[in-house]
Amino acid sequence: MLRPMVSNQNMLSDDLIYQCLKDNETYYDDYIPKMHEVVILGVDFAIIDNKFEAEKKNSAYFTMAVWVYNLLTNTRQQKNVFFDRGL
Amino acid sequence: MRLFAGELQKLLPSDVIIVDATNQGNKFDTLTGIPSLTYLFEKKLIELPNQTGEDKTKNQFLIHELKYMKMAQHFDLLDACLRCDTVIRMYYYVGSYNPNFSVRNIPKQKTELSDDDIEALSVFGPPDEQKKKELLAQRAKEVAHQNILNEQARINVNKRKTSY
Repeated sequence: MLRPMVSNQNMLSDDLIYQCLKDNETYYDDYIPKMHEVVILGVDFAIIDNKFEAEKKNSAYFTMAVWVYNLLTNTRQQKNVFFDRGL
Repeated sequence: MRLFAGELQKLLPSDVIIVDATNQGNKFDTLTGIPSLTYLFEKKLIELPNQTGEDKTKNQFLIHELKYMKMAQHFDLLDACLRCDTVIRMYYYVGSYNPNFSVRNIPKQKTELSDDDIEALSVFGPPDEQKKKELLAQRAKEVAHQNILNEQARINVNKRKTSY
């Protein structure tokens, strides 16, 4: 269940993350989904007006995560990740 | 984003649907924000591939962000992940755990197999349970897509009303 955050900087313990790593699978450049799967692209980007703000924080301008949601098993597989610092 | 969505949709093929998944509240909210992703990691609902060296370097960025979210240098990977998850919560979720923290209250329709589906399944002997489940999931996906298109149409109508 959801746990209260102890502090803002430590969000997750190592065990929780490492149990989700799958040694059999790799990231895909090209993935054909099955009929009961949905490919979802999550995009987060900064508009040009906020460019200096992003530079000050040393963060990326454009980030994209590719998930595949399986409606049968209710699992989310992370298929690829992309981020860029230049506009 | 909502302003561009209608114009972008015209440029893209009909398979690709654009959804406005911006967080309406605080990004660090425990129910709707990034900390709510902890639930998914606890229940092993997220799968991260970890075979080659490339995978490991990509995972390092994500793990570093998960552990030290508010540190100075970050790539906004978690934001992108949260966008994906909000879309799933809004439209595709079909589990018994019905979260009260959906971003917008969109009515979820129950999907059932029609008589034609059952007939098509039982042509070659009695219907298989696995095939039934897969077909049901496929129907749920179609309903979700229709819901998204309906909502976009509603938004476009409202926009037209306000522009006059």
